[in-house]
Amino acid sequence: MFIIDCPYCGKRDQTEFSCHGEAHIARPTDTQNLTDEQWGEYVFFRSNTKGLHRERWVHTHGCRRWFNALRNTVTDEIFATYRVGEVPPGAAESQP
Amino acid sequence: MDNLAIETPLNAQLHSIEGLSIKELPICAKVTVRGDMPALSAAIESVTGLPALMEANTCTTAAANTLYWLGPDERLIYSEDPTAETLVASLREQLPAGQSAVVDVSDYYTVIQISGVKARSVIASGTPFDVHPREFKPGHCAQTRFGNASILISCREGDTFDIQVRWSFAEYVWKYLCRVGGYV
Repeated sequence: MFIIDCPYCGKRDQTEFSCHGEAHIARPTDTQNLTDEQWGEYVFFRSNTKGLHRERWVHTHGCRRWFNALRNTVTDEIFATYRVGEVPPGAAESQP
Repeated sequence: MDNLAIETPLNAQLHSIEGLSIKELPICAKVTVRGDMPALSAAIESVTGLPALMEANTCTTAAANTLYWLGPDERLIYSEDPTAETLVASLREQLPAGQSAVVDVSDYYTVIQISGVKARSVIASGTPFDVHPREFKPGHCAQTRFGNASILISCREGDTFDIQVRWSFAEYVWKYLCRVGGYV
């Protein structure tokens, strides 16, 4: 059991939350001209990171708001949570 | 339709043992308001007499109305009226169209009131939320989990709490509370 800091409600138990995979995946804008392979890439393929991973969470049993978390997929440690639209912590030195 | 009695899922049951009283409250009007909150606060206050609280997990009561913070852009208003028609109409009139949503959720939920010296222990048996008096005081509310049900719990005073639960989960929460009440 661990505690997650909801950016809106504050610290709550993990059982109130659900995780919904990798965050910051931009939907392609030029959808008319995408090949099946490009669609497949967008819909199904994820980075499957070992280590620091940015992912989408939702406070299901609480305020029902979506937010992002920076979690280590090896140790399950959550380093930060931030609202949708905010700049991810440590964004400058790692991935775009 | 006027003589059609409004029934509640638990039929206003009462469960009372030493140090614990659990009862279902009579049906009341429940309305959710969504929109950009600091901007809508004045309009909400003009109708309900209550400001749209900006502090998370708080609630406030004035006269017959109670307002709960549900999310950054969402508030819940209780009114003692048996129907929400008047409240919904006046809110829709005051709030800017297209920038807010007013929804009558009166029949979506019921409220179970639990009070007594054992109340906090009974609630703590089913929720991971900290209901210790040091953390959870009158004027506080929280949406959390009780067993497998989503609830909105609020502290009315000292050892009296309101648990708002979805209609279909009411019996589950009721039985859970009564059963645990026999052990704490």
